Amino acid sequence: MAIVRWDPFRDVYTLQRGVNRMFDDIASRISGVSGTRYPKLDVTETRDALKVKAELPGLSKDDVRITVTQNVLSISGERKAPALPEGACPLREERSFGRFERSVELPVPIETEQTKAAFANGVLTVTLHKREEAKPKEIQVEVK
Amino acid sequence: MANRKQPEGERYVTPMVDIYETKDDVVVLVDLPGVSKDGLGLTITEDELTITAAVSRGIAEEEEVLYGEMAYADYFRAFTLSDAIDRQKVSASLENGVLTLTLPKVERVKPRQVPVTFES
Repeated sequence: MAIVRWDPFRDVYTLQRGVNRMFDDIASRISGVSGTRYPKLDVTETRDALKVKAELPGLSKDDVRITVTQNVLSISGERKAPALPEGACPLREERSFGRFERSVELPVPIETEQTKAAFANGVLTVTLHKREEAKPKEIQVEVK
Repeated sequence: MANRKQPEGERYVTPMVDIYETKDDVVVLVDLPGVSKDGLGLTITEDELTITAAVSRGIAEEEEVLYGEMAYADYFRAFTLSDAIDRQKVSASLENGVLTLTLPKVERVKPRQVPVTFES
């Protein structure tokens, strides 16, 4: 990761986000309207690439559409409710279905052409390669 | 089937489930993203069905997490089974992170057609 200027308010922002999340959570429980982000995402970074993982149980590669620009990744698709056998009586329905779309702003510019995606056990992993200028460089400095 | 509380002290994620009933079975669908067959543990005791599932998030050492929403904890959920379920015949399949449990009903609780003859 590139050198980032120390921001004394960063921890405050983190706290603010945490408190906001707590209030969102309480609000959704009271109103019954769920504000859950779907799908859940993780973003990780290595020297050369960014990885975005999304929890999409029950979906396969034909169910999702991935678009990528230089700094935004979008994942959209539809999770279809399974067709119940005839005469089946639902007893409990906690899982949610329907259309979804999520976009992530990427922290560094990427080579859009080299983007790869894979599905494993209901988790989608999108690998985005950083552009050359965004990779950390090691420069030998000669000391005289 | 009723929910049972998870063991105290440890942190678990409660997976979302759908349950439906047909003439012959009770079917349980469980969302377990990130779980492979090796990580899945199903146990049936006298009156309880327990699902535990280990999650391998596959984060390499050189990877740095920039943003995280997924919970880094194993899944746990338990259900109480009624006498109507035939414990010996429970079957399970895991596909794309969704577990399907088929719990067949015992013969005596299945709906039967009783022939009725009318005396004329």
